Amino acid sequence: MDFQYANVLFGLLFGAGFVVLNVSIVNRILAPKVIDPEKTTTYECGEPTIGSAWVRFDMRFYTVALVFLVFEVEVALLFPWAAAYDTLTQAGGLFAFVEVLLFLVILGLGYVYVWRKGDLDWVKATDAQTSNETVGVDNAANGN
Amino acid sequence: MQNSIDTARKVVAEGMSGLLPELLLAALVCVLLLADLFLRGVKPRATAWIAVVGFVACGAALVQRYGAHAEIFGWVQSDGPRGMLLNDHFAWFFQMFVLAAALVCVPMAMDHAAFRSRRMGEFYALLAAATLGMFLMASSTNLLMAYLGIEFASMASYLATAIDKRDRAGSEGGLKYVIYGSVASGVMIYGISLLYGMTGSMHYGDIARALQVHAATEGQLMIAAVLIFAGFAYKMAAFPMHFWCPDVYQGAPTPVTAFLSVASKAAGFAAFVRFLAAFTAHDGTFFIGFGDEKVPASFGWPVIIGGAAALSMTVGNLGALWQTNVKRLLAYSSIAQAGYLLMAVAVYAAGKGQPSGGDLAPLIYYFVAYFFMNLGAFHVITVIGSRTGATSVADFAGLGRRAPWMAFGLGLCLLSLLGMPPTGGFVGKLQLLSAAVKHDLLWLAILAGINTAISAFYYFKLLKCMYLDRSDAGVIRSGAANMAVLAVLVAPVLILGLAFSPIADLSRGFGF
Repeated sequence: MDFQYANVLFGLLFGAGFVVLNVSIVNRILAPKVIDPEKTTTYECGEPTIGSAWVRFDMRFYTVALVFLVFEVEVALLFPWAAAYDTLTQAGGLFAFVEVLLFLVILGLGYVYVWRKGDLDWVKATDAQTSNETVGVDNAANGN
Repeated sequence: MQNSIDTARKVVAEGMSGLLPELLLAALVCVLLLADLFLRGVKPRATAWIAVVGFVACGAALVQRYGAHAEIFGWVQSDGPRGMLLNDHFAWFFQMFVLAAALVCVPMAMDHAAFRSRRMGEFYALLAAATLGMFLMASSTNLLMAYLGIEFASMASYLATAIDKRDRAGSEGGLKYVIYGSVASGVMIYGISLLYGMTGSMHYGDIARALQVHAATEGQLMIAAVLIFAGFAYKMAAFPMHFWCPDVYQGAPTPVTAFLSVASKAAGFAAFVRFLAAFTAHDGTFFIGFGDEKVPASFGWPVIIGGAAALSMTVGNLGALWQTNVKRLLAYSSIAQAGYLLMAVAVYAAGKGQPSGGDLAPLIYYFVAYFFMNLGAFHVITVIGSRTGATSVADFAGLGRRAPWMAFGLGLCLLSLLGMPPTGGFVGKLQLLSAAVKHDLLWLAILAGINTAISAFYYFKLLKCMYLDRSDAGVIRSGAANMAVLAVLVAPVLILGLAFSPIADLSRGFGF
């Protein structure tokens, strides 16, 4: 009975062969070769490019990105809930409300965590770049 | 709409009432995170005590649940419930086991240098989170839940391994753990998808029924099963998936290593045995080859698991021979121990094919012994390591004179890991070997015997170093609290070796 998968195998092989043939062989034979310096430059929406793309990003963006991700997902989950809220409350009373409230409280905990850690204090963290995390918390504990 | 919401409410309400220990743990994670944020500068040790109180409260709730048999968080069909979690005796034992390991790790972490000032509370929050994940693994009765539990526990374990950012070995271990864990879970979920395609369900009961009705999915079924086994084997640190183990165990702070080597392994075994029980529900045979041929039990799961067991033991013991770092040595030793434990699972699978049914008592007994002997050994290594900075075997020279009780405790735990009388490890291994012989797995018993002889070499190497090698270093003061923890961990190793029959009787009550 396993032979019925032979057509799948054939499809795979055919697909792979098709790509290899076109990309590496047919292309070389048919494509016109006109060399032009303009063609080798980076295409950036028609604008001339400025500088290299290999610039340094501030490491602290990653914390912001993480926090953003969490709260974006939260919003994405809240939209369908809000849209269906009427039906949910008619059917189940406060059940739907309490469930989402718990969800929000747990995520809010993450917000408190980030805030308290000092990851939202952009300026202060720059001052203490050597050990931004511990300094941020220690300052907060000392009431600075 | 009305109907489905009512059903959902009922399911959640019924589930929550039987879920108190898990809810307490979840709350504990949040409380510990907050406590760490606000008490870090004021009372650094407060978080540890909150963790102790939380674990004890969870333990009390778990004791309350003893004897329950409820399948929760699912749906009901005409022939019975289809839950996500099944709280029964088996789950209860492993949950208690994991919780106790977490509780023991708290004083170990309090004593450990890496946790003195920084990141205390975060570690305890991670410990509680990992414990919660392992709770879910132990009671999972659905492949999806098992997978989620494994991921939950793994995430917390990765972070705990790399918790000390300044420690390069720890960071390296954490990174390797993440990469290896992602691969293993990818492999596992591929196997799950194959099995779902073949059986139409991820619920263990449904899988078992589907395999009985139209069993002839032959080689594909075997591929799915082996892929899923890879995911579990990663948690157990057993043969094909053990490569992460030495680096992670060496790099992680010792209390984390202790927790991973005991609790993580136990949860992996619990989840796997549940899966296996569904897979071999009817007669223990495994389907292999083409057509409707069923191959008898002698060439089914028992052989596959037995093979993994034999290879785990051999790889672990041979790898340990050349190690000079104590934690790495114990990491290889724990791979070998996973082999012995898998032997118990193979015996269980072999028993499923016979009228008597599978017997989990040897597995449970060996786990009880393993809990005390492995945690005891890691406790001594934590205490000595944080006082002298000892990491290599040679650093333990003259420990018999420098810290006699600690050396005695470590020596006893090593003898037990080796399987010498009069320790719990001996009785556990004896039960394993006799059960293997009884179930026609003589070759496995012989291999285990040979492996025990090999392992004697490196366990005795450490013992010789402690008692025969000389050292001029001064006496090590261990502190009363550490002595108390040592007594709690080491006394049962002896008790399990001398007065074993009551515990052996008890261990029979935790099967399915």
